[in-house]
Amino acid sequence: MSVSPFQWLRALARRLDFHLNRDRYARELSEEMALHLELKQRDLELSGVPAGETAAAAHRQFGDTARLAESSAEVMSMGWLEQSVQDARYALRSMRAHPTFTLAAVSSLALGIGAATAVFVLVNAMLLAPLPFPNAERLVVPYRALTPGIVTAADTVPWSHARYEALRSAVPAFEEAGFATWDEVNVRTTPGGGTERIVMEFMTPSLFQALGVGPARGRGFQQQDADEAPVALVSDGFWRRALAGDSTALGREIIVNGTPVTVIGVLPASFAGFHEGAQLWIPLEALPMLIAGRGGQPPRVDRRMGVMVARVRQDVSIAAANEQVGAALARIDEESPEPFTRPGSVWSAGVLPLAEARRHPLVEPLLGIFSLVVGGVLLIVCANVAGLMLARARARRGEIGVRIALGGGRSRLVRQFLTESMLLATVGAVPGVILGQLAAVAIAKHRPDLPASFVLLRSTDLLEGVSLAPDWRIAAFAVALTLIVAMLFGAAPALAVSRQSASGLLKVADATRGSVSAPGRKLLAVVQVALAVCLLTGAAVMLRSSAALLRTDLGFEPEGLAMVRIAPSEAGLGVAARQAEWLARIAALPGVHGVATHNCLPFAGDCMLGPITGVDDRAAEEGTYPPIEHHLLSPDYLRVMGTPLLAGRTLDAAGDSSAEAPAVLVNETAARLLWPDISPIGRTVRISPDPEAPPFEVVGVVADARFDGLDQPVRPAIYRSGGDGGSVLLVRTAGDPASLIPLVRREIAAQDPGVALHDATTGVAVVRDAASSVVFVAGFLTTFAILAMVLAAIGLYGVLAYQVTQRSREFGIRMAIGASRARVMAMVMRQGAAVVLAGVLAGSAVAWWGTPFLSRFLHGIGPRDAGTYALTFFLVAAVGLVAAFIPARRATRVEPVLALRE
Amino acid sequence: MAKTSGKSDMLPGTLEMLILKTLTLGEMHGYGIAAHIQRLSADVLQVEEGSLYPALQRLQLKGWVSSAWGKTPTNRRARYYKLTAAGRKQLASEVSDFSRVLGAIQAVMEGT
Repeated sequence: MSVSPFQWLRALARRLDFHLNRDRYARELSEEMALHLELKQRDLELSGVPAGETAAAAHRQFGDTARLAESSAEVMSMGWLEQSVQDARYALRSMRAHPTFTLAAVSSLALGIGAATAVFVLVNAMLLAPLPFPNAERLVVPYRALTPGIVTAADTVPWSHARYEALRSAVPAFEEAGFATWDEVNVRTTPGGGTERIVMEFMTPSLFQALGVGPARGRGFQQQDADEAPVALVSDGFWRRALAGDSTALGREIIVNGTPVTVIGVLPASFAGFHEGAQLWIPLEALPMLIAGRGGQPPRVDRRMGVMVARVRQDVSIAAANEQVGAALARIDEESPEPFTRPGSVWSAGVLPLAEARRHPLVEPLLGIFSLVVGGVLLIVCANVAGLMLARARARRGEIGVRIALGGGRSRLVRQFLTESMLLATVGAVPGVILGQLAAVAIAKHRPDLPASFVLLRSTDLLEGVSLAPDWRIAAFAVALTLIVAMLFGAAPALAVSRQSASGLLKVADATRGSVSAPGRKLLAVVQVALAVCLLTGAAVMLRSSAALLRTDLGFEPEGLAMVRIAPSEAGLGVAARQAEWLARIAALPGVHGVATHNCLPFAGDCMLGPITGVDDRAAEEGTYPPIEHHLLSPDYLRVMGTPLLAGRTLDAAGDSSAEAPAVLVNETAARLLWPDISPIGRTVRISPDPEAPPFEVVGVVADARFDGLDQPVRPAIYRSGGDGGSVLLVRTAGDPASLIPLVRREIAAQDPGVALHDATTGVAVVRDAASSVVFVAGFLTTFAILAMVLAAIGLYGVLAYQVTQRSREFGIRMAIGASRARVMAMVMRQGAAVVLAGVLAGSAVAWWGTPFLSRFLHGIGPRDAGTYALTFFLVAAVGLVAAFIPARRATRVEPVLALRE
Repeated sequence: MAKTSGKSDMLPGTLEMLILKTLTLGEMHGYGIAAHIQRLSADVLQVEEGSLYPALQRLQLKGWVSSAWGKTPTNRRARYYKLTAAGRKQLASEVSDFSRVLGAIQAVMEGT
């Protein structure tokens, strides 16, 4: 018979009503039954049954009221739902009854689930969150790379505007394409106000069309903009900060590098451009009005290098677009070669999805490592809680035996256990997820500085989206994770219960036999130790690597060194023009031991590189030597930076740069490279493509100083006097260098208000940042490895302590018939040692397979460093034996007499 | 009639059909239904009277019977059960099924 949904719903409503008003229903039923019996009695009396017997007769014919009431209630039962509620109630009661067990299980679950959630929040923000563009999956970044294989920014050549124009019209798959380049500019928002150094993007208006982004306020770029005074769009942040979020600010003029620019619109907060920190956007045509070219020439827009973003047409696949770009570029390069991409030098060209191009190539391996680590910790947590549950299942075997013997269904019992696991997992998950979100926010705040030069498109900070705000992906993850975890640790005890027979469970006399689930628990302990060994090995390798990295010989003295960039003033006054005066003023500040200028910051990737075109009288063929680093400095540089002079003399203030053969210094690497067998002093080197330019004469050799990265090989370098490229101010002090920077800022602002100081940092900070990704990974791994070790030790302790309790009678008997305490202790220790040994061997094997994944973060140490493995081995063995020792000693404290009497 | 031999077990589901049939006469309380069934079946179908109540519960759940509190002629509070439209339809189909089965059994019994 079919039941209509309406009927079904009404029945459900009635059932619910019954369950919510159980008492009323019971009262009413008993009232009905009482009336029934009374009327029956009356009828029986009328039919002649003696008065004394009517009550009994009525009851006899009616049946057992209690049983009937029960079967009446059964009609209303809600099946599994009601049983689940019962199970949950029961589970809650037993959780309350065993607070220690509950606290241990819930807190370790909270830790495990929290760790997994934290990593998922990061994955969500960096890999899963959608880009803030419509149909973002059609957006691609065309690239050309000089190396085969993986494409990182370091392997690609940026596009010139000319190439962009050529490619754009040559690729039919592009629905629209745009180009953006950038520069740092000095910006004043009020005529008399201070000057800020800001990243400005120059872009073709077609870029906004390709992206599908329009201004949130005001208007976008239009065709006629090109003919008039420059117009700009500003970021939401700039509008709120510098323009006070004023809607009347639209149409206002701001001063960019001395030129008035009209603000016409504000972009949505989600748009951050394609260069880190970009706050202003201006049509590319306006570039010559704002940026000075080299050597007084107007800048050539067609030679500007930048990024390209294209939208692929709906009816063309991304793969097809990829091929079209490769083919088109080959053709274009053939027709009009560019100097930096000689024919044959481009290995591959194509398109990358925008989402991928924005991501740092280290992000995926980093998140991969994190996921493995938290996965490991989560497994240990599951194993631990499963162990606890098994121990409790064992303690409850009496209860379970009775239930089975009385006809309790096994499936019901299994469900009871799973309900308990579910409840535990849920109670642990709530604080866990909150903890995880907090941790993710903290990680996002203190994340490592990944070298940005590897990102194809520097863009919005992907971790900016990490917050405590609710997110359906995170919620879904947390729910799924809780379910899986509950199944993982709940399965073992549930299976253990379902396998046992009632008689076995009810027998008390088998206490001397090992627990039924002992092998299972030991296996769990082995797994825990193995996982802890894996994590510890990884952590140890990373720690040794980061220590090695921080010990790297820098070639300069980072302590007490303040560094700040100086942007040329609006009037075009570079450092060179005012250098002498500034340096004198700053040198006079209290606490300053020395001041110098330089053209680049360590580890910022902004040092100039150039070819070596001649050594002594020989001309050097292109490609004979690797490129050489150009350092332009003021006279005090070596002393301020703390780079030792190894031979010859330093550069002096005057003369050196103007002489016929200007004096230069070279670093050790350059000396070894160019004059392997002889002293470089007095030799000459050419670094200009112009053969008429005078050569440089080497007057001294300095120690190798690292500018490229802590783990990069030192490049050959040449040091010469000069300030025209110089833009970094170096100040040495005996005190705190960071506190010196405001003083320097004030001193320079007092003289030249149009000059902007930016990117202030200290020597210690740049070194720390350069090592941060390795230190961060090491810290992360170490934290979790220690957590894993502690959990594994607790797990091992739990197994052995439990066994000792179970076998105390046996130990008592053994000692009563003459076994020494040492022997009993050895018995327990042997079991512990077996678990530890098995775990260490299994863990080392997995680590041997897994640590090469860390290679990208390792420096000065191999992933399979034998010393590290030995260290881990002994550490885990020591911790494991301590964990085993406590229960072993307890075994020897068993009083034979008491144990026997039990 | 001797109760030992005359009291026959009922086919499952029969009780519910009997209740529905009884209620075609009008609203009745539990005891009224039990008494009516007993009377009509000349005491052959002697139900364990209490089992009426779980059955009534089931019928209400299925929506075939509704109930409301009312007063007996002697002014006692009692729950009165009433056949619903769905219950009437259900009874019709059950009766036709029942007579078909009964007819079939009869045919078999007489055929031998």
